Amino acid sequence: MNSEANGLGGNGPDPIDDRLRAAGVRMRETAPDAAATRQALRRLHETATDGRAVAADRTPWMPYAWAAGLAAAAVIGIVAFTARSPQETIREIPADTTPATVPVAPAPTDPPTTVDDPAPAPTPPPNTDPVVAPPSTAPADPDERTVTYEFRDDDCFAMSLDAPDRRIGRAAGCIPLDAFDANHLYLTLMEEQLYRVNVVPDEFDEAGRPLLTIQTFPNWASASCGLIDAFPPENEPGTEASSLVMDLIACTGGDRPVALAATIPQEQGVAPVAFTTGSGQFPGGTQLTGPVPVTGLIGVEAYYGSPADGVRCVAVTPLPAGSSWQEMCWDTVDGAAAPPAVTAIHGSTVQLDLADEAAPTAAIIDALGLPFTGCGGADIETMITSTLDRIGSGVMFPALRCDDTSGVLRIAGVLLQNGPADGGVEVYARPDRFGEWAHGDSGTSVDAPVPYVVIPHELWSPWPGDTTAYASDRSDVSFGGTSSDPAVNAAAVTGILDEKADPEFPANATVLATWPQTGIPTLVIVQQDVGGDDSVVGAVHYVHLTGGPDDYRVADWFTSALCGRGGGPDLCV
Amino acid sequence: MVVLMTDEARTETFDAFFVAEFPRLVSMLTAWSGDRATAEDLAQDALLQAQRRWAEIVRLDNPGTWVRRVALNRSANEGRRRRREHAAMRRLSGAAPEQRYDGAPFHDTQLWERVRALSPNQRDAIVLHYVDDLPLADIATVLGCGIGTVKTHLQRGRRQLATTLEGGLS
Repeated sequence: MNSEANGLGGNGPDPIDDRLRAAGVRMRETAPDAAATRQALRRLHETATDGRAVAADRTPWMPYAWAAGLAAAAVIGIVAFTARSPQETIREIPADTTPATVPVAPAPTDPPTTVDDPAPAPTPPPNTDPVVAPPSTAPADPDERTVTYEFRDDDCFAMSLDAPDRRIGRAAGCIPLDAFDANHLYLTLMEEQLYRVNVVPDEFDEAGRPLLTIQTFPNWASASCGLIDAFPPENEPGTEASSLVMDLIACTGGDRPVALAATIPQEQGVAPVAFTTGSGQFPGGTQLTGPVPVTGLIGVEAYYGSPADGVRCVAVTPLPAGSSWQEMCWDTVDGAAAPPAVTAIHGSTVQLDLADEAAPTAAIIDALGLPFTGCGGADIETMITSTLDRIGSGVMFPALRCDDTSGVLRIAGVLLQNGPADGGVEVYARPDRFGEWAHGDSGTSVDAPVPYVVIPHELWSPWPGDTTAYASDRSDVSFGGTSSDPAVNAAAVTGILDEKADPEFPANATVLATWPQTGIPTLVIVQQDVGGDDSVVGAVHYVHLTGGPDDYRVADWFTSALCGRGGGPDLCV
Repeated sequence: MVVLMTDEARTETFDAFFVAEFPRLVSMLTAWSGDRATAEDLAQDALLQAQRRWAEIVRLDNPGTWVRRVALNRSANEGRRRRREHAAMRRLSGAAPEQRYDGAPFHDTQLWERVRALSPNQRDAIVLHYVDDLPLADIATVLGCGIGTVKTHLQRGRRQLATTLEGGLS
């Protein structure tokens, strides 16, 4: 019996652990014996030969004969009930399944509340076997779309949009299932199609968890929007990134939330574009200004909301494929800022400038207005230092992504950091599998950009693409005894990692880089490799030593997602 | 060097895989589903999928995690169907349906019922850990999450069980 997770519950014996362990042993003792296993194997080969569905060679036991009738009636009841459901065009899947696949139903062209068409009966989700695509038994409709959900924890999930012959895209997001707000839109955009994810109670299990629904959302432009969460696209390892970009403008004005949404093609002049508001006007009835053509983006028009309407927060966020970042938001200053100007920089990259130069926090929203020169270390350094020169204090600064394939500098999804009280700004940049990782940290002031550590690609290449793209765990760790000797500090970090690890799950930590290389570090990057067989897993830890006196600092500890290496990304996602 | 495997050799490797995995899968899925017959069907079904794609599956680093993931996917579908049936039966009959023998040792039945009442991730992690005896890394692979997340599921699951079982089981 593995005992690598035993020590999680604290010190001393854990009676539940003991009980589960004993019960597990007893359960294993009830496993089919060798004869039964051989019989099952023979049955499997027979089934494989004649193509029959799998079924054990026995009669299922039912408690009473009437139960079969009731079960049939129950199924009919479910169908009838669903047909009366207002979610008639939606395939429902329980939110507690991992993963589940549902066909994508087209949304009604009318507002959902006016649709009376009966729903198709709920059908069991088709096979969602990982790694290997299920065999098709009939010519597939090339226009058919299915969405597969895979819950990563209680509220967060990843979903994939598939055509019969290809993976269209992936997106990830979280929905608070227990505190769902119907006014809160959960959207994602894949292959020119906007999808809305909703939460409905489980009519058949009121005590159970609610269900997720999904539908296309063609009428999003006229929907009355509240807050918006965009489930950002994710790169499927080894596949092309989604070709479209989801843009959001999310505004909140006091007790009157406003949401604007837009889609912008990644390449100029390609694909239809839309840029509109949630309702065409703010909730109070105030009309928006515009539309105004967006310079450099053919066909894109922008609408503006005046701060006088109570909009305190405006953001334009190109959300490129592969990004895990959702939205940015900047406060204008006391409503004094003029409507912003939107200009295109590169393809999907949009810069939004607030005209009020007197408002430093609103001077530049998108700091990516830099000429693209490449993804080499010098290019990234130029990009970062230039950006740091341009942003003002208190401005949230996105992580940057350098993509050689499209020649576009993008916002990436590693980390947003507004900087601590001392004005520090942290920047990560990662060329997508082509160049180096880089890290920049101003340390003390955004006014004094500093060099950053460039980590050779060889150090990262063995790890799957999503290993370092997301800081999945952040913890504050007291980090005492810092030294001017970087080796001492590196040893201290690996020591902490060892202490955090279970005895049977060793840290095997290797320091990849410290910064600065002399003096008290503000950053230590540690690679963890638990070793083992082909299913080896590892992680990358970023330890930011911030605050406190020099001899005692608090570390912000970011741990990347642990992921299998030998199995490749297929077994990681 | 590329080694080509004959059909016969592939069959032999699959049969060995089946013999090794089927009993473990049945035990794990029995705890998971609460029904031995269902567990056998699900195990057979998952292994049949593996057999049909064995030429690809055998190349995976750990075919066992693949087949477990398939089995749990299918178990989730089965579990959904049964929950709806039971809920409908309760509505129609005004009473809970009769309990079915779940294949577990009798004095563990309540414990596994409580495990099945946990959140899906907690349930899966506990069953894979305590019944299937999988290493955390393999559980993480099966569940598609990180090891740290698996640990969290196990810890929270045990804590929840401790609460629900308090005074309920000796």
